[in-house]
Amino acid sequence: MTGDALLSVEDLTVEFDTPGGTIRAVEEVSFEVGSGETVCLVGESGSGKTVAGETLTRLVPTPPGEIVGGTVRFDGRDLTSIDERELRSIRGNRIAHVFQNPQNALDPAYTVGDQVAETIELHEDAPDARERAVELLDRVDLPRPATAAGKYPHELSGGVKQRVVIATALAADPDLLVADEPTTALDVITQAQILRLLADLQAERDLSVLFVTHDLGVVSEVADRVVVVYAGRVMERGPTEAVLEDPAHPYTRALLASLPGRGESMTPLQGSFPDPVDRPSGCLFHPRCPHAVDECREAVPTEHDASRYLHEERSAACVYYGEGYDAAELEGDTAGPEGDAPQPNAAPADPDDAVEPDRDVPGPDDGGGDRGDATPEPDVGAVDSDGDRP
Amino acid sequence: MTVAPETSDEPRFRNVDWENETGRTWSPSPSTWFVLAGLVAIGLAFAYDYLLVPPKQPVVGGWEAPIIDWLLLVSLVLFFGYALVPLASRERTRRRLWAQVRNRPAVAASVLWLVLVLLLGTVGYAILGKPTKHLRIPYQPPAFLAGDPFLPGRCVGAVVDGRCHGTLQHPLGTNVYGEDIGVLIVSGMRVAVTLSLVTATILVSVATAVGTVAGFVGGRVDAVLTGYVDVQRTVPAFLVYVVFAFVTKPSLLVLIVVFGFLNWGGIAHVVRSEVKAIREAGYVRAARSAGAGRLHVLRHHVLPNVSGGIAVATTRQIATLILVEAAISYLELNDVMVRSWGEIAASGMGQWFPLNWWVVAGPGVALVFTVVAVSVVGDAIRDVFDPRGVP
Repeated sequence: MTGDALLSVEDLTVEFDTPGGTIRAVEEVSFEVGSGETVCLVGESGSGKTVAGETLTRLVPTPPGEIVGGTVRFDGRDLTSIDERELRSIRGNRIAHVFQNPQNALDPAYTVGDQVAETIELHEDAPDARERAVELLDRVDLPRPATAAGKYPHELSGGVKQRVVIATALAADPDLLVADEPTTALDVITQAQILRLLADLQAERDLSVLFVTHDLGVVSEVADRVVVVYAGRVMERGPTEAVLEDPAHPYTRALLASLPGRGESMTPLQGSFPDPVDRPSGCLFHPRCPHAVDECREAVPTEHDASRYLHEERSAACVYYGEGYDAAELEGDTAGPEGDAPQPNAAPADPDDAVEPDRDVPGPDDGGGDRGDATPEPDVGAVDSDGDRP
Repeated sequence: MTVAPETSDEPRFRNVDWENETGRTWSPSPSTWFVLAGLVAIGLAFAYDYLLVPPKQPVVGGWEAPIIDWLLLVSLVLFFGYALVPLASRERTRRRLWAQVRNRPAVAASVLWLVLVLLLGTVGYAILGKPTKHLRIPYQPPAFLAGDPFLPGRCVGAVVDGRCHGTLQHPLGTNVYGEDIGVLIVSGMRVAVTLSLVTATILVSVATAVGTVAGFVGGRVDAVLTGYVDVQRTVPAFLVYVVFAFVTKPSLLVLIVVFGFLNWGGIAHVVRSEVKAIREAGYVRAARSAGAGRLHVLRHHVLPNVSGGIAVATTRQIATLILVEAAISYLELNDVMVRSWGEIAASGMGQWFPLNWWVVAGPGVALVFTVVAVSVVGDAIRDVFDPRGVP
């Protein structure tokens, strides 16, 4: 971590007080977004990615939400500790948000032109706000923007609405855009158009984007770097292409293997997502991990540098990347807890081998199959080979 | 009613009149200017009356300026400024209202009738004045109709077969005092307009303030306010009015005050639940993420979106209140000097009923028309404000 990024989140922990107990939605999450960079927070529903995005400008209502720990440094200031007034001058003006559902992101009582102008007027005394709103609507490619500015949200389609929402978000010329599933509610064609629009706008304005999504297809299109979260914790991070081509963490592997249309058979993730109130001990993924060892149950794994296995700057919160384990054992299995045991022979210790670019998700030809060995253990050979490495 | 300052952070409780804001203006909207000017004018006139004109002396013409008329003036200003003008000046609501009027004859007829009541009840009454008594010509039948020969009094029109025929001099007939029923109906309109608008002003102000604060602030404030509303809703306003009418003197003002300050609970509930829903709406979150403060969100996103619900809930209350007033008149718990439709009809239900049926029928029909019209317009307003409705 360099520390001089535009946005630098460190050890952010957010809890929610609910009648069923305290839910830890985000736990010790750290990430950075540099100038002009796109970082993706990827995770399933309930993984805390949305909460992490909204906590940046403290949009999460408190109570029931509470930032229990960590810092959000933005342009030199810690946003978790500044007062509401200062925060309001940052919202919209420096950090803007685009939310998932354009259907209710626009106020039915106002024309869309008014709503774009509203954001401008919130941050400056602008008599020309209305004209600038029309310009922005033109910029987000609304056909006949001057007419469109006079329309009410219910008169527009979902894709057009999302363009308006983007225009609203960009109205006060922010430095960072937090885009929370901005294309999820849209059809595939509109999705592609919106993604292209976002990419164009980003290049044009040197915008930093924190993209929050569950959609790995979207991730591969937009992100420079990706941070994979599961149940509120970071599992893995790295450059997008590297992570998607060659996932380091067993969770990411399983996630990728569960996707259709990647040339392999789809393998759904076994088990179920952790109960937010009663979370597993140790590694949050261990109950569903085919490679879990005792240490996974006992202690939360720290993020290990995975670059010695995978040539780019990578890290994964998995014991297999730590001292005394061989990450090569993670190869060849995505089937779930009933998967096979480590394959000493099929686990080459050579890091160059491990990053064969054409090897996508590990498949059955890796020597997997159903051997019925329920508890994979790191064997001596594997530890040895790990120890041999420079 | 106090004049609510438009800006500053302090008066949130008073600032939440049923503002039907048209835009995100930073200076007061035209509506607010209109209301401020109107209230200042009324305030000056009131000060003149209070300080310079001796008690029981008319201010202008024969007008003695009772307190209820001042309240009516204030309510009229608020009604125009915060209900009619925004409804007509917002392009969407105007367009939708016009569509309602054009496509639904019932709505058109109701709007027409209510406009007629409003005009006759204010301007018309000011011109016609109170009905004059002609004690020698009681129970003249309506024009083109004949009265029963048993009815007392001299006949103004032709007498055929002993039956008195009505004349165009009194097209709707006269009552026991020889007062013209048409003029009486107009005086009843005055009472209905006063009753509706002044009560609505109280209901809307209190309900919006309480409902918005409860829904927007939430937590303990919500619990306390909602709890209070629930308790208050168990108190029957009718009984309280009866007690007041015995203790003091029955009057329209007491009726308005009692029903205005006891019946806002239902509207407050509607406001609260809508505010709670809107508070979580995507556009409120979007506005907050764009840097809007709570007060801005409240004024520009929450209130405009609950105004439809407030209007609908209020019209329901008003329709009921007009009927309640008639019931109170029939029970002779009213001020007989206030010639409401209920009072006029009740006064006709004496020994000669049903021979003098027109005394009851005229105001009765006006009463029914008004109650139905208020309900129909209430429904239309709901459709006008429905964000998902047709443009």
